[in-house]
This record gives sequence, structure tokens and C-alpha cells, in this order.
Amino acid sequence: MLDEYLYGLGFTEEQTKQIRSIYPSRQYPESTLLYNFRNLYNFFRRNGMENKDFISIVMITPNVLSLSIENIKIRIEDLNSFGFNKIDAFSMIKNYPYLLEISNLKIRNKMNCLKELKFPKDNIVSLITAYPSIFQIESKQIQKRFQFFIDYGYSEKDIISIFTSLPTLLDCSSSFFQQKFQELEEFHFSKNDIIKITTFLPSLFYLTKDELYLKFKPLQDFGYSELDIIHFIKKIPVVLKDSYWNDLFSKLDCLLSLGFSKETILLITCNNPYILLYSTESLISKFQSLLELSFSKEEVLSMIKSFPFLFGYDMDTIHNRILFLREIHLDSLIVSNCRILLFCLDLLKARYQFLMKTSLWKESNYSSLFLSDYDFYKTYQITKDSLLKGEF
Amino acid sequence: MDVLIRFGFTIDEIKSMMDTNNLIDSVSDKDIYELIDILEKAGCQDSHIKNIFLCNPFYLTRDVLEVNHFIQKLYEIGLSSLFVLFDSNPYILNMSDRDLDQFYHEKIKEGMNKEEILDTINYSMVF
Repeated sequence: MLDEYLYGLGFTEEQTKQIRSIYPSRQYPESTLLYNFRNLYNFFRRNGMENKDFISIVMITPNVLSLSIENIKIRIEDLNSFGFNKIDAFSMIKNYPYLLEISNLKIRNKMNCLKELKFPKDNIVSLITAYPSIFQIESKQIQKRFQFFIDYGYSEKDIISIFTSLPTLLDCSSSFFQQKFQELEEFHFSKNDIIKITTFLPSLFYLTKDELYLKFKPLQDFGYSELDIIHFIKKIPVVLKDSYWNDLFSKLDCLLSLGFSKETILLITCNNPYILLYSTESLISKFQSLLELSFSKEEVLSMIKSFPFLFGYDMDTIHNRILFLREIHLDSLIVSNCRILLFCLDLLKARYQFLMKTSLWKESNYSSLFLSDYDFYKTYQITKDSLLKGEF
Repeated sequence: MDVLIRFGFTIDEIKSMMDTNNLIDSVSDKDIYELIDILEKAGCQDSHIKNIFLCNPFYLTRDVLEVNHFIQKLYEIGLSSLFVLFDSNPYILNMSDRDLDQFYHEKIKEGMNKEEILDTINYSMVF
């Protein structure tokens, strides 16, 4: 009877034999055992577990067969009192069945350990929910790991963020991290870069050097050097996320289809790597908007080549900056020195009004408009703040 | 997302920002309000804020406290009228105070004086 019932749930013949031979099963008659199994199974099923989860719980913690449903409910209530909701509690039991057996004291101690390390309560709950196996890691080891990261230069906040988003890292040894730091340093990432990148993307710790090289390969085939790739990873670590990385080629294809040469693409994306993060629709739409401002395709290509940040700005902002420059008859400069489009319109207008008011404005002297703050101050003895407040 | 709509972003603009930074979805309206508030305190008007968000949607997923520390550091090193800087270079808002500190000291080591460093930050698309 029992064997058939277990086969029906998905237990294998070997697992069934194992269950029959272990202590809690041997102490019950078959009918009691079947009754317990049915009760347990129905209880776990009602709480969202699948057959494979139930099988895993029984195989890992056979003592569960001697627990009453009431006892399990008490454990769930205990977990509730520690801040875990019912769904979290069952999810943790599913991933770490030993949770049914460990003491409340052990749970409290582990939570206190994280609290002492300044993990916020929400992070503690989400970390343990995502990685209940943390209960098998010694608190001393967690403290040691934390200190190891502090010694490398991470802030407490960085470390909390890393371990909360990827708690399995708590189980990695110091030598594992030491080796990872060394590998990343070999890629010419500075300590600060490593801290920044791994805080943003802790899964990087799990990538081997070869896997990183493999990731770089298609971009190298396109024409980027290893240093180019390292450069934009430093600038925008988010690009390493699969959702961006796997989409890079559609962006590169899009830039090719807009008319940029491979060489120009390398140049503009190294200067402004954010271009690689914008959607293809956005790149096309911005390119189109520039064409609609009465520039030829060649002019737009040349403008973006000399000032790749043009691909980032809101088009209304660019439109207004261009309109103003046209109003003061500096149209020709827009294409030949597109970089002037970086200037905030408020500052340009304030400088222009100042130069007009003081009769210093001449079109031939347009470059005054685009001086740095210090040079403008040295030339005209007026600060940026006074200009913007109209105090002239 | 409601706060972005109330601010005046179109659905297409919000979609474009989310296409670039898919984590925006998980940011609370409260955090977005605070991030807008930080920019307003720096002197940004609606048009500047719109430019910053569209150009750099990653600003929307920055930690409010970290952005405040960064802005504090900008003032400490002597920058003012920050809206001009943010409107010219929205990407700079992804930097941390630590990045800025490191940048500043590297430039000092290279032999630049304070005014030159401030001009570099203002007009060289540092990020």
C-alpha cells in the first residue's frame, strides 16, 4: 500500500526502499506511516509545494515523518515571529528542509549576527528567504567574510548590497574572492573599479577569467580592443548584465544601418558607452529628429561623430539649444563644432544677454559664449552665479 | 510610475526610459519624488529634469542617500549652479562621492589647479 502510494507521488523505487529503512519509518506500522505521509503531503500541497518539493523534504529530513502537522504549524508561526511571512516560510523549508529541525535560538543568533553587521531588517529577511542555507554557515565565518571585504575597501553598504543580492557568495571562501580580485586586477581594473563593478553586479564573482574572455570575443571580432571593452565596463558596469550584453549587437547593427562606419562606431561608443544601452528605437528616433531639424544625413553623422553625447540628450533640449544658436546666427557652428551643444541653454542665454548689454557682443567674437567658467570670469570679471541671477 | 506621468512624461518617453533601464519598474513613486526633489533643490526646472531623466534613466534607480552625498561633494569641491552641470551632463549623476573624490585627487596629482578641475567637471562630460 505504502509503496504504491509513494510511487504515485513520484518517489523512485530506491527512494522508497530508503524511506522504509530509516529510523522514523521503522518505528511506525505501515498503516500509521501511510496516514502520516498522506497528512503531510496534503498539508504541504495545500501550502504550495509540488510533489518534487515534498519528496526532497522527506529525503533530506526524514524526521519530518515523525512531526505532527501541529508541530510544523508552530515552526511556521515561529518563522512569522522572526519577520518571515507564510509564503517565505514555506519557500525556505522547500529550499532548506533542515529549517524544520533547527532551534529558534539558532535562527535568532543568525539574525542577530546579520543585525550586528548592520544589515537592515528587510535585507535580513530577504537574504535568509533567498538563501536559507545561511543557517549552516558559522556566524564567525560571515563576520570574517564581511571584514575581508571591508579590508579590501568596500563600504558596509556595498557589502550588504552584494550579499543581499547574491547571498550564495556568503558561502565562498576568502581565497575564492582573493583569486577573483586578482583576476579582475589582471584585466586592468583598479581596486575602485572592482568595488564599483562587483557591487553593481555581484554575479561577476562567479564568472571565470575564461568566461569573461569569451564574453569579450564577439566585441573584439567587431573591432573593439580589450582595453576598449574594459573602458566601457568601468564606465557602465551595467552593460555586463546579460540583458544588455546579449543585445549589444542589435545596437551595433542599428548604428551601422544608420550609416556610421565601424571605425566611427568604435569611436562614439568608447566616448559615450551609454549609446550601447539605449534601445534601437531610441537611437533611430533621435537620429530622425536631428534630420528633421534640417540637417543632412552626412551632417548628422558628422555631428554625432564629433559629439557622441548628442545621442543622449532629450530632443526638446537639443531643439531649443539649436534654435537659440540659429537665432543668434551661429548656425554654421552647430555642424562644424557640434560640441557647443553641450552648453546649458540658460547659461548661453545669460552670457549672451550679458555680452549684449555690455556691448561686448560681436558675432566674430562668438567663442566668448563657449568659454569655460574660469576663462569667462577672467575675461569679463563676472561669475557664473551672477550671470545666471541676471546680476549685471 | 504615476509620478512620471504626472510630471508630464509621455507613455513613449517612459517606455524609452524603461527600455534603457529595466529596473525603473521596481522604483517606488516615493523614491522618484525624492530624486526629483534633489534636482529641484539643485535649481533644475522641469525641462532640465526631463532632459536628465531621458538622457540618463539610470539616475532613476540611484539610491537617494548616495545622490545626496554626491551632490554634497560637488558643493564641497566648489561647484555651484549645479543645474547647469546636470543639464549639460546628466550622466555625471551616476557617479558616487567616492568616484568624484578619486577624480578630483587624480587631477590634482596630474598638476591641475582647482579652477581647472572645476572647468573640466563642468565642460568635459565627466562620468
